[in-house]
Amino acid sequence: MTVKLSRREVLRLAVLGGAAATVTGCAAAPSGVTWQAIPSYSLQGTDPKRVDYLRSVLDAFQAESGVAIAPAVTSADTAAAMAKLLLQASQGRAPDVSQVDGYVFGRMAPYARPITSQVAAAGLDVDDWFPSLRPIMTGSGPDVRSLPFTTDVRVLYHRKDLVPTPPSTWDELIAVARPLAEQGHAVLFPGGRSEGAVATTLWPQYWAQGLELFDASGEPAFGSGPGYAAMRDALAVVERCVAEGVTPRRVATFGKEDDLNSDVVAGRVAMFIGGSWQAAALNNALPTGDFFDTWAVAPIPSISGERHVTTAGGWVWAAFSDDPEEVDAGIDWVVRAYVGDDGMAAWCTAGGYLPPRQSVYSNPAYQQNPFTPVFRDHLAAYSRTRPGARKYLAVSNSLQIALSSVASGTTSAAEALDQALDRIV
Amino acid sequence: MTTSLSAEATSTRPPTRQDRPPGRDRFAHPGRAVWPWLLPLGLLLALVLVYPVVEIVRLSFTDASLVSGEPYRFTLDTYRSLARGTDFQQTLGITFVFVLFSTVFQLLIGFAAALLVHGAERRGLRGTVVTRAVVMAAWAIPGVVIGVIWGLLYQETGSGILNHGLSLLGFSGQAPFLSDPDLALTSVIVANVWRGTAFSMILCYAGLKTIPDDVYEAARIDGARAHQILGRITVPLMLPILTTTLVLVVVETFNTFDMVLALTGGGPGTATQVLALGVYDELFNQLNLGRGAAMAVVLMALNVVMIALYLRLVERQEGVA
Repeated sequence: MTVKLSRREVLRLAVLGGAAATVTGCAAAPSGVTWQAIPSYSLQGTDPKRVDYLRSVLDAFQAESGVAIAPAVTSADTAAAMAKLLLQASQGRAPDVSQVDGYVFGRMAPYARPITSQVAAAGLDVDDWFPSLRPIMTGSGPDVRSLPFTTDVRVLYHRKDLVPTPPSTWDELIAVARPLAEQGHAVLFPGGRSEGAVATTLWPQYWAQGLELFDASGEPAFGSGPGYAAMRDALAVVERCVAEGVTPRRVATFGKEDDLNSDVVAGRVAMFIGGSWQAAALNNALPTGDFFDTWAVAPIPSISGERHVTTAGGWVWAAFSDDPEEVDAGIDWVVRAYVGDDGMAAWCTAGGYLPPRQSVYSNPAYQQNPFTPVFRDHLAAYSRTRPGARKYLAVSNSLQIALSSVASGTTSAAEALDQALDRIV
Repeated sequence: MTTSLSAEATSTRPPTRQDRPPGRDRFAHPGRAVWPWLLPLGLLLALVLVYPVVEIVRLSFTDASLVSGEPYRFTLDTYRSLARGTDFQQTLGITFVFVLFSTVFQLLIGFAAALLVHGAERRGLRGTVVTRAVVMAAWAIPGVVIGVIWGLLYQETGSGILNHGLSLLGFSGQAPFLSDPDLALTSVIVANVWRGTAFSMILCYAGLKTIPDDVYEAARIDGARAHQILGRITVPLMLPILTTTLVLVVVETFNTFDMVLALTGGGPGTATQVLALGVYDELFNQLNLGRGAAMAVVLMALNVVMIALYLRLVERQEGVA
């Protein structure tokens, strides 16, 4: 029997079929969840250890849950990637579950879905995260909106043979470093134009004086008065190090903390301020492989020496889907791979990160390096996270320029700060 | 009919719009012939070019952020802040210095390299194809990679390639190529000249190939020396291609930001912050859509002036031809 259909009938059937498929799709469990990560945290990473781990967990999760995870990767330029994600989130187009840089999350929090119930269902306790990271999780509201899954902390590294007792103040540091600099051993820190430079070098000095970057109305708090003096003094620390000759002017070109690794490997450094992640990398880079034996870690010096503060960073997961089932499935996936007890222990071991949950440090699956207990103490005792204020990025950018100008030895601290204040629109 | 054909055939002036029969004027009846062909391209251009430009101009008069949900208002403050702020004036100054020196040296070195290759070819020397290929390779390398390569060359320790070379010559070997604000701009210009010279060379080389050998032959018979041939034959005949190259290089240099981003990130301070990098920084690092759009409009205006100049030159050249 031959059935002949007119073109109009074929079109009708197609429309009906499409409608039926849509209705069926709406009623069923989520068939797929989009999961977006930055390249090194995704299946597109270049480290086989991490990629193998992710692939095995992903296959197991999909087989058990029946949920298809659609991987998406951001561009390698994370600043641009976060800007794009913020735009997508504000337009309701962000991937269902996305990786967000912790310091940017404050801007994205209003668009992220509450995940308090999912966190509780996974058996996770918010109090298990380090206290300094909890504000990122909840933003300004009562609900949990993000899950920090890696963290880091900035410290003072010092060579034990050259600096047996680490300095507590900048006066002490300069006094110790001056003769060492004459022998070719410098004090380094990132002083270029990047978020990492202000987070490592500038904010800890400012915060250690007991001041906030923003006032209650969200405006910069260093425009005048004690805030201005504190920021000028924080920049003056850099100015002094360069003027005294203990720090070379080329730190003005160090955007990332890792930019000073080659100097450390070449044996030209007595002390440096860097991130916790650098220890393992430097140990691998040193031909002798004895970084953990020859170097030690101490709190970043402060101006007064009475109070030490450091900056904690890291990445979080957040859900942006409108569909509660997709939020459930997406959070299930990231908890399994990155946030849960075993997932966080495995991922932080594979990537060499610090776990943001305190209990994971005692998980047998988490492999620590000799400095990890010190980093953990610093996270608990000295760390702060960057504020989620609307003007944070403008303030950060402007002070990155100020820091870089001062480090290049061509602008005084006060002059650079005045120019920075002019730039903040 | 015969009369009209004969009139057309004997006329020495080109036909004008008034000469055409009214019923056959395709522009008078757009639906008949022209518009159906132009419409798809017109729509495409409107979508991908006109709309974004209009939107950028509109946004430049707002204080919008990159976050679309956040409220914004229309204001002239973005342009006021550009006019009053020392940072933008500084960026403009740096951009003009960057463009001026990059363009002059790209053109001069490109022209010199083209003369060398062309001269070598005429003398039947080997290796000219390889030379052209090598120069083209420099042009084909992405700006970010060039930034990284020159970053390695400029490293400010003994392990930096240039500093190591300088130390072998008896210098300190610690030249602050990128950390000294004045030297940093020079270093960025040198890297950009290296990158862009190939483009100038290829265009100049193509121009040199259009000059007939007879002209050179005649000049030599008349006893002209090399510098006289260069000044009185080559340069005058190359002038149209040189001006075209000049305009194209200026436009390309105004838009350069990837290489600078990778090499210095605009630092130290704002010593190497060119306008295109400033736009990127304002939009993606600070999320200031309004101010970033205003800076982009200024950049666009500069480019439009250069393109208008270019079109004028092309028209003039076609008129001469």
